Amino acid sequence: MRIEISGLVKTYKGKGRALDGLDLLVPTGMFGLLGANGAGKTTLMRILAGLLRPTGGEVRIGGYDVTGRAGRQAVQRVLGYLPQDLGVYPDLSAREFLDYVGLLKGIDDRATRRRRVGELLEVVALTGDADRRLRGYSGGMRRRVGIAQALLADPRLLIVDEPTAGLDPEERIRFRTLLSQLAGERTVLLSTHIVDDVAQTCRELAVLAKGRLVFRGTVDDLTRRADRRVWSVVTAGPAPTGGTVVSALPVEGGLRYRVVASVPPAPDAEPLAPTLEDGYLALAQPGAAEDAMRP
Amino acid sequence: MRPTDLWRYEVRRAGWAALLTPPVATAALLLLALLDGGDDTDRTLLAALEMVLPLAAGVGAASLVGRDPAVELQLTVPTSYRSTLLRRLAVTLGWAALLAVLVAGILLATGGMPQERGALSGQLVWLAPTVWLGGLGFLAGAAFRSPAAAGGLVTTWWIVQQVFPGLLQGRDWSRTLYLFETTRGAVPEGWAANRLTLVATALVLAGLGWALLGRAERLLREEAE
Repeated sequence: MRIEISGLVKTYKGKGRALDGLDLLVPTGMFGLLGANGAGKTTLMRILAGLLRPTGGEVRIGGYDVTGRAGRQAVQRVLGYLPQDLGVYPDLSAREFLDYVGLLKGIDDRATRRRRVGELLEVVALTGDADRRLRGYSGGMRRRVGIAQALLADPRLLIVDEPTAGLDPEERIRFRTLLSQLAGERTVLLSTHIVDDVAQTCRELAVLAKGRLVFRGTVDDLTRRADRRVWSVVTAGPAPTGGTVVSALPVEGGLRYRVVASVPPAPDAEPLAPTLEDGYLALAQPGAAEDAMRP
Repeated sequence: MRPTDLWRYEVRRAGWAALLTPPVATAALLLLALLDGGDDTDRTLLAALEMVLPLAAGVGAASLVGRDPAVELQLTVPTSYRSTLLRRLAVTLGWAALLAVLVAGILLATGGMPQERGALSGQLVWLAPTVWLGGLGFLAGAAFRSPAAAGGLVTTWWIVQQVFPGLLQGRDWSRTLYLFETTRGAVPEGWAANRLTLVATALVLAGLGWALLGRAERLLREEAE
């Protein structure tokens, strides 16, 4: 399912523009959406899921116009959505919650629903806890329930907003792998501010900043944005200025800083090979975003 | 026709407050009537039927919108959320109605129901104020998205009608909106018109609530435009 977005605007009363004339094409497969908090990612996800109506612009998903009611309903029939803060009914067990969501998604046949719920509980490794009330679940376990509910009706479009927040490293890796496996014929839109999640799962991505698209391309393209801009500096003095410090590692004689900067931050700075995170940070530097969108 | 399993879940989602208040209120008034023991037992029951049960149902209806922890998920599934809320409203009012029919049956059996009301028309004693306060609660819930504010409005309107009955009974047109016409009505011949007007306006209130709930993003409080 292709997602075609053109001139998308969303304005909140008293808060200004959350999306400011966004143009974006999302192909079938796994696609990452990066951006800082407040960049407009959640607003975009909510518009795509049919929760919010745009103030202006066009959004078509698999040919359906989601700015209209009929299009929204058509998309919701093939949608799996995992919101950033998934609310659950604490008095229900995971099995009951999934059974209920299955009913809401139109899986009316009890036997089919039970089979599907059982399969998904297995996928998210919650079979052993399936009959415990959600009230007693940890954040990570609730997240896994959220993932299971998103997959219930075998969706063709999967929208996941910050899906790995609150998961431990092992769960994160397992979930990322699951998303990649699911992609195939589906469109999986992964919104996150954890760059590594995108680096490990997506070939293509977009970066939003202040409601605008500042990058659209492949992971390699974004990584290359930081070519000849990543430096290693060892110093016992103050942190280097004139760039973005990515990390600071204690070493003999001080700290080893990894810095993204357009010019060497110190005379003895050594160049390093960039990562996706470096490329993402390079975008935030003055003038870089405009350069990134130039053909 | 949706499966009974869905209704079973909606009974649980309607909440304990909505499900427990009507029977507790009825039981309390039955107890009061029994303890009272005098000639006013039937009158106390009739008052419970027309005043207390409808208030419990109205407050229950007011609590339906604004306290759903999974509202964001509900708004993205093919089953429309307002249908879900309507199902929960039906559960709340249906449960109150079941108890009301029971109390009305007791009154009919003991001769406590006013003589001019038959078994069928006697049901309008509770039905009209119950659906009216239920409709008001549903609309207020949709407008305020706060069970406390919506329940407060329902309770305030109920108290105003209790304390200042003359406010509505003073004029022909407003008398048709008086909730307690059976027990405290000033013009007995206007009873049927009052009951039917209450039922009709209740449908309008519920319809307005339905229309308000049509905009999904109003329900995502922090995103309201």
